[in-house]
Amino acid sequence: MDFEYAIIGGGVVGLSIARGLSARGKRVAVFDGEDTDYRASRGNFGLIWVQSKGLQAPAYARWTRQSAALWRGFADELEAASGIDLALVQQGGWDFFFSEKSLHARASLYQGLADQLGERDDFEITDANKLKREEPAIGPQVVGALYGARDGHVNPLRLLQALGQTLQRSDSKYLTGCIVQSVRALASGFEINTANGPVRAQKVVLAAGLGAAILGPSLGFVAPVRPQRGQVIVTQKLSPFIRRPSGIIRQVDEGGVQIGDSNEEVGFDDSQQLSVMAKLAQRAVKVYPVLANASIVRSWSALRIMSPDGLPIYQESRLYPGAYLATCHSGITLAAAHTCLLPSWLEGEESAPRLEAFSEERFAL
Amino acid sequence: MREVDLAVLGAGPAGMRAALTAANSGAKVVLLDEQQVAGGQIYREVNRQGVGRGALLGRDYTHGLTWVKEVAASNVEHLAEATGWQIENSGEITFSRGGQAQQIAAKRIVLATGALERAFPFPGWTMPGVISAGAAQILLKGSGIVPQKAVLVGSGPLLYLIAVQLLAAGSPPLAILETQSFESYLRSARLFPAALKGWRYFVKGTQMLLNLKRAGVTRYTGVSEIAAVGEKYVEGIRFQFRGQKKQLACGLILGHQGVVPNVQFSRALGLEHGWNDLQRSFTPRTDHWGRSSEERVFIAGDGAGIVGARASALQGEICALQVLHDLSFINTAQRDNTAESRRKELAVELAPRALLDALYRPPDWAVVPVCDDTIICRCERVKTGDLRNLAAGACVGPNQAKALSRAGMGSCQGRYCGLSVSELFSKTNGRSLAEVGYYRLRSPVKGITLGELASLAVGEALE
Amino acid sequence: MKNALHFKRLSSDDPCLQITWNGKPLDAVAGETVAACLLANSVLAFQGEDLSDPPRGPFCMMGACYTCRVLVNGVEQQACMVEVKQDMHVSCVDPEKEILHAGS
Repeated sequence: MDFEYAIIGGGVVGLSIARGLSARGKRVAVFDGEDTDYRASRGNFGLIWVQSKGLQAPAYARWTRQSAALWRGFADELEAASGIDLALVQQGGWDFFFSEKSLHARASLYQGLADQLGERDDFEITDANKLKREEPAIGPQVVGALYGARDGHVNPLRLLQALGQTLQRSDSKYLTGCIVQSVRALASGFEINTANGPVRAQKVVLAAGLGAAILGPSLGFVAPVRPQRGQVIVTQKLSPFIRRPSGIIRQVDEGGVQIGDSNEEVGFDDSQQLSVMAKLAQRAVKVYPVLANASIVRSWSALRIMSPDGLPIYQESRLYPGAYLATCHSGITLAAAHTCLLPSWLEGEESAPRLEAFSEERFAL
Repeated sequence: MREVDLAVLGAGPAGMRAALTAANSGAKVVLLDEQQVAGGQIYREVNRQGVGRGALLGRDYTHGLTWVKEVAASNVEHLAEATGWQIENSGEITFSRGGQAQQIAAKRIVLATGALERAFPFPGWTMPGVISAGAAQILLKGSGIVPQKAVLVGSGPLLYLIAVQLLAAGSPPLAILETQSFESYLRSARLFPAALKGWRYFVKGTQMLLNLKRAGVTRYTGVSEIAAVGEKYVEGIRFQFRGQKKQLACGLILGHQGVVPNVQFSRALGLEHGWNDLQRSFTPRTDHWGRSSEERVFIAGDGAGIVGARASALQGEICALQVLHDLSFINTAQRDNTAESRRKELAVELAPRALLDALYRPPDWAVVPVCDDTIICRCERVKTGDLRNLAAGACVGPNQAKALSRAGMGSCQGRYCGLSVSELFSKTNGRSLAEVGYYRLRSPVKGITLGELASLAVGEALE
Repeated sequence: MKNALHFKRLSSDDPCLQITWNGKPLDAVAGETVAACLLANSVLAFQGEDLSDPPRGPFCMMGACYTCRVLVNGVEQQACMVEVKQDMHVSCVDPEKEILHAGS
């Protein structure tokens, strides 16, 4: 056997899992695709976000909170190992509102979740006056915000770089430009066929994002993931004026302001639509009016990997034990959990996190 | 949204001729251009020059005046100071004018956005005092500002032309450092017979060299290891010549390694491109009418591969003929009659191109710096060594490199690092340029403000 | 070489306009771009001159390289794309740490 684990997909999800396995001394091969593949790891917003997650699914809320809590330690270790500054800041985040009604409707959802989880002081309704003190650049149309103390953000590209770089320095292999054509279960272990020849591994983790839908069936998975487009705009570098991130605007450590996000069901189309970009810009200017004068430096769209209910899928194959599916649209938020907690689940340890709620069997009719 | 038959982007020779040809046959044409007056960079502000500056710049320059006047007198609607920043394959064009975003829907589009000077990265090239040679020419044409005691460095016919123009302006260059070597001449010698059809170019070239010689301008040929010397500003230039290290004191370095197609729009539109090894650049694929891989979009002039001003104008006309035919303004016979004579002229204009491309092909070290410390991405100050390390490691190509290094992420959107980064990957990983590819470019291709983009929002606002 | 004459105006006409650069008056000629005017007045670095960052000057003169950005009457623009006008106030921006000037 060439490797103990083959991880198909070298984005943040695959690399985070590989980091955790590699830290346990496992010999891992990560297979990654081409330069122009759909890559959510390159196009995402960089949030470590808790407040809106799992409002209808407490298990997901818990998993997210667990990961957010692990992030600092995960980042410290990764920074030390790679020498790369991840620009992690977890000092809370905003959800802005333009109407009192929608603010309070949302707040009651948050309260419901907090009660279910038994967590107190989970969020805070911040009125316009207080918000103005906290975020001096905020515009008059914002009536208030929900504050989530666990929210934060990170430089997702440096996270990707740090994960890739440290993996290369380990005993593991990071096989890039190496598209997996098929996977086959052997009597023992698996054979991964690539353009550069076959590789064998005892276990295989399918973390190929949207590609999981193609490779999944051969391993006994349905992998019901679909693309959901999100468009993002970045401005010129500016002196820091946004104190905390929100789901729609954040100032990155290099100074640019990143503006999102759209949720479009357009299939495998990662082009941009001007009408959507214009609305994103309009909303951003409403939140921080001073942004009207900022130059746009670049913009892009990327495809989220969405399951039918938006939650992650973690599943071991019933047909081929030793094959696992791991997919989610919150690879940044969940990176710490994927490194620190998922390996024990893959190894079938007693202490493994309970991930039954994320089985893909929940979608069975 | 306002509708037109044809929208032409860029009012250089290709754009002017395309617009005029279409408008003269009755098509409703809009010609968008960033500058205040038509002419493009080649005929920049040719209509504003007094007799003196025109004479100094030469007849190839003043030639453009006829077309600029024709545009002004025609039915072409020339939108000056209009910066296009988004085009959709459906034919919708969004542009800025006076800080206001506007839109036009066109049945056909001709991209005539011309060329950019090829980036020529060498140690110190980001210091104030290093500008492109084309920039020096634009200063001369547009603003009547003449560089003093400059050192010209690089390769290509434009280098001599600028030298002669500086001479005529009474400010001869301190020296010309030419990067083409004896091998360049050998390599291109076999192409000479075919190029003779375009003999006028050679007469002009020989005259230019003679003028420079008479004026006593020193030429160093086959130079290498160029570096700008200075603390924060240029104080001199260092180079290798005939096996010896030399240094000249100067405050101004004008670099030039030829021009390459400006692909910002053709890339942002997702048009098909191929690698043109002779011209050492990517070019959009077009048919012999200039039609791109998108039915509605045509490309004329240097933007589809470097051809020069006169050939660009002819290509503009040929594009317009097919546009007119598409939209039933002319029939097939009318199209083909005119096209045939234009193609004959075009063949003469293009005759010397292969020779010029071979002779002035930039040396490898002028495209991908040898020195790891040399900045390759000006905007984000990314060094060559950082990219080489990425390429030698697990990074598969320019787009992944952009994400990991920030090269190409800055304001110029890869205009001055894109080709170098692609070539670096090709060289380091032994993959062809076609395989390596290029940055994925996106709109807006020009830096507009968020407020301007927001002004285009229609319908219900986002929560 | 900072104070040597790098660019000369071709025209023998006297400069007829005045603009300011970082508050200091400069002579300008109608029809020239802001970038040309600064160069003719021996201003080679448009960005970062007084900062720890290495200074940057204009490079392409055709609106492509974006290294000539300056504030023109408080609005960031490419100096090579704007013509001088009487009493124009031009100043340096630090592109890395630009502070937005609200429209008010």
